[in-house]
Amino acid sequence: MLRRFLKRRTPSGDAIGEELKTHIAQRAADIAARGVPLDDALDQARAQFGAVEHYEQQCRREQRLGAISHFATGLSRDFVYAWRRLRATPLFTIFAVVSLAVGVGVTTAVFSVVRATLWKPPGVSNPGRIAFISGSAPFYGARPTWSSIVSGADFEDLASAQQSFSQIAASATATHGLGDDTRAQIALIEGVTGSYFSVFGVHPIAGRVLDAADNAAQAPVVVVSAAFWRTRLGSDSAAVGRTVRIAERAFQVVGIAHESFDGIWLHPSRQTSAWIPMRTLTELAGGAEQGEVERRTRRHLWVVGRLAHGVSAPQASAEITTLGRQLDTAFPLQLRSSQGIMMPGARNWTARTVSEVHAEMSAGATRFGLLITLLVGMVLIVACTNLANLMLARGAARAVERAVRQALGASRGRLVREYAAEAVILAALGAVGAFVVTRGLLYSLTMEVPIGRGQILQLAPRLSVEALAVAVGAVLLSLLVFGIGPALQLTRRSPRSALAGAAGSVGSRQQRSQGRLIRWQVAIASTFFIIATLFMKSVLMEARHDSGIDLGRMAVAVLDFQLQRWDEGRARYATERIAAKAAEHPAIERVAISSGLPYGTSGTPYAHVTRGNDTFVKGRIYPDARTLAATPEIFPTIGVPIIRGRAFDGRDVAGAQRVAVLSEKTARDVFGTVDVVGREITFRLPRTISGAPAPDPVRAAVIGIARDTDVSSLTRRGSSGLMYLPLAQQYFPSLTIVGRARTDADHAAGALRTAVAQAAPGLAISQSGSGRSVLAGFYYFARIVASGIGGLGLLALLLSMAGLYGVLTQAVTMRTREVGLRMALGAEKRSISRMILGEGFRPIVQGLALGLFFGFAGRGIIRATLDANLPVFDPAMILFVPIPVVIAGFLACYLPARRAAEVDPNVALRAL
Amino acid sequence: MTSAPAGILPGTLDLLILKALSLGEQHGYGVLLRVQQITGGALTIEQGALYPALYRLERQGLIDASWGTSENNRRARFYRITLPGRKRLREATRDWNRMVGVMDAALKTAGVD
Repeated sequence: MLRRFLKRRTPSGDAIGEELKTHIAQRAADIAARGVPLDDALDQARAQFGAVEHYEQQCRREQRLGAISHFATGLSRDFVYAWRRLRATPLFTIFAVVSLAVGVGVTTAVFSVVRATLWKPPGVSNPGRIAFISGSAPFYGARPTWSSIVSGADFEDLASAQQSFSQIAASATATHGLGDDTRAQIALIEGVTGSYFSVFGVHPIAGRVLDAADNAAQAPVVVVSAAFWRTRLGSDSAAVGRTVRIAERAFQVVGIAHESFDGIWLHPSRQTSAWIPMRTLTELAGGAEQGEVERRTRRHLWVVGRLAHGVSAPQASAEITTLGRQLDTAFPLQLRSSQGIMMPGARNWTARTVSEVHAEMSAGATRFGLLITLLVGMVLIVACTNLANLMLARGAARAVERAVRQALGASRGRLVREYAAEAVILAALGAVGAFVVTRGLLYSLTMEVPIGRGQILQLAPRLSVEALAVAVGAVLLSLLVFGIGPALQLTRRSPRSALAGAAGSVGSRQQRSQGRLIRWQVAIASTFFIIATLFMKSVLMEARHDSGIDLGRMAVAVLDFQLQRWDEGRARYATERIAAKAAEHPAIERVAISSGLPYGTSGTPYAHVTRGNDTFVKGRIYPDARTLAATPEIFPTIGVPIIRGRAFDGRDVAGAQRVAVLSEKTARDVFGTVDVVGREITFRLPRTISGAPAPDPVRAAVIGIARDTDVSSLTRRGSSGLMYLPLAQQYFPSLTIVGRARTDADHAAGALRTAVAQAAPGLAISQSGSGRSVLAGFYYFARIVASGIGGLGLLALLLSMAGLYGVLTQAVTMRTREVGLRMALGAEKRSISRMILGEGFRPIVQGLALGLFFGFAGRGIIRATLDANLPVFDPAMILFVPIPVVIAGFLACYLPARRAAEVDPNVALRAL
Repeated sequence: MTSAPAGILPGTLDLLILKALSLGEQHGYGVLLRVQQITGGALTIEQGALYPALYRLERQGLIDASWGTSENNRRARFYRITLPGRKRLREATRDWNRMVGVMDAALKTAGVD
């Protein structure tokens, strides 16, 4: 631009030359006039002038300097004027900057989260050149799988025979308690062979990775994940060399794996927290397999290799298939079914690249991510169109100013430049705001999200630079198009027409395009609301629903003693100490220990229950009851009242008569009535290990009846009942510490964790949190999603309504004359208000209709994406959607309408 | 910056050009003639040096230029003084006079010794 400008402003070098030559010619003519011959006169004139080229150059330099400074002063003047104009209309400026900041900030933050979770790349180097050994798993359907598919002995044969891979590694996964001396968590641990990390091409961010020597030495060393290092080791820079405990054994941290690597599952929802040498893991699990048969049949390894140079994935796959067939011949595969029956199987090995596997695994997540991106993209569109609206309104309002200035000789380029300067200032302020918003959102989104089934998603989103660039680009474009567009368009008109027709009227082109923009904004906002109602219904249902237990005030910490190999005595001692410690905490009102909860926890067995004198006969069907073993405090802690008889107390100890409290449903199932206190039951618990003999039936006295609750999962009632046993008489290896919070459940959950760390150092918590987050499952997820999407909808609505307000206000100002004329001709104030309101509402109604259409399309898409039973069409909820939109629309239109009605016809008509 | 031509004090050429143009619009050669006229031919400068000075003054916005036709029908660039130029001339003249007064007094004092 500068270059073009210089060229235009600078007369060509020839012009300077011409000027100088003219001088010399005139001088020569003057000298010649005194009688000197012309040639001599020219020589003299040249001599007096001096070196022509030298002076010409100097002139040109001056000119160039002039052009630059002219441009610079013009530019800085443009910015100063633009800044002054923005300051003169603070409401417009603040609103434009805020909508920019929020629009860009929210879009960037949400997209960053999508990038960090749903669209996360596998985090290994060159995934197309790394392949998993995939095989058939006959008991899980016909689909081949790559998880836990190769036995130890097969891996050794495969590793020595294969030639397709330059390096090949195996991994075995296990869950163990992982933590430091005070606090532990059940975590996914991998035992890996020496070349594991070099196959994946994963580098440590500190220390080193594991190698073959570690595996050979069966060393107690560990590489921890970056997430573990950040959350549990406090990002300690001296973490390498520290000691952590896995299954209560001390391991030395030798390195921290790279942030982007999630472990063998290649997915952030199943992150590996620590890698140890495979032989160390085997020893941890109780030593190596005994005997050749078990070494062939226990297919617990994941095998992964890096393709050798020049070998393609299909070539490698062919070789692996051949090797698998050879092994099938040499060592026919015997597989054990869940019923303990041995049956022959085939290895059916192929090699599948990490890219392929990752794409297959994350197909659903990719779709979901696309949907979210689409939704936040809509927010960005609203922010952009909103800005466009504001700029249009502003541009129209300044048509007269522009015309006057043009008439006074301001160039069109200059006017356009001033508008561009305004747009640039707004964009710069908006970008700063957006950065702050994004940072804040990313900070608050760094958290652990329970995603059901005890899994926890570690969210640690990083700012996605592409997203920020796209968002800022979109906003800048809309600013430029709509900021400068009016300037270009209106300056093209002759200033006279703008001056003459300074007042707008109904149906001008400008107003029509503003109406269109508002219509789309309303459509987008109501689309959000309609999508949000999809989840809102579940949320409302859960909120209205009485699950029978006091979920809102509960905090839980789940402990698995079987996994950690704690015997009954040790587990009982530890849980009692924890409960005592937790009860002292001011955040907690009371504490109970239970083998589980009526719903939401896993590992709670169903027992067959029958009347006391009955016996269990094979083939007959008995009533089922979900069985909990708990301390007496369980009833007040979870808020379940005893409606007949009594709860457990100090009499019901080990060795005393066996007792049980039944839920109303169980009592009815077994006896047909709830009036059964004092009667006897016989129950039989299921076998805990497949193949083991069934436990003996137990006879117990019914001492009380508890009110019914949901069983198995929230909102599910009636399928079966409950049976409560005293923990003193019945032990289960999975125990939950349940706390009743005085006020805040999350706070109480923290207190439970502290109590575990203090009373039983080294005991790993499987899961902990507020009752709702741990037990409510899908409803908790729905609550998060509904508030997220509803929030986005609210944001879109606020933005669009503020835009509508601005546009209407400006339209009213521009139509003062028309309104004045109408009033002079007898229009009443009320009818004027109604006219403005009606005009304001037209795009709102149109937008609602469009939103309804898009909303249902969106619901259809989500329904297809999410694995949940959600209705696409739901008339009752849809009826609520227009309410916030109409209220907001009324508020946005009311003030301008009132202002229009207060126009004084005398004042308005004077301007004619 | 241009080095001052022999025979005149630095900065005085600009002042002289402004003075010459304050008497009316002129093309480059005309400016030279008028400067020679108003200085009584006392100033001897290379004539070419006039032009960088003109372009510099134009850049500073003290004079303005446009193409026109000279008295003998040649295409020539005409210079005229602008409002800021007149202001500058007034100030510079005042400064110059004060300077001359001061220097004069100082040199006279020195002459007593």
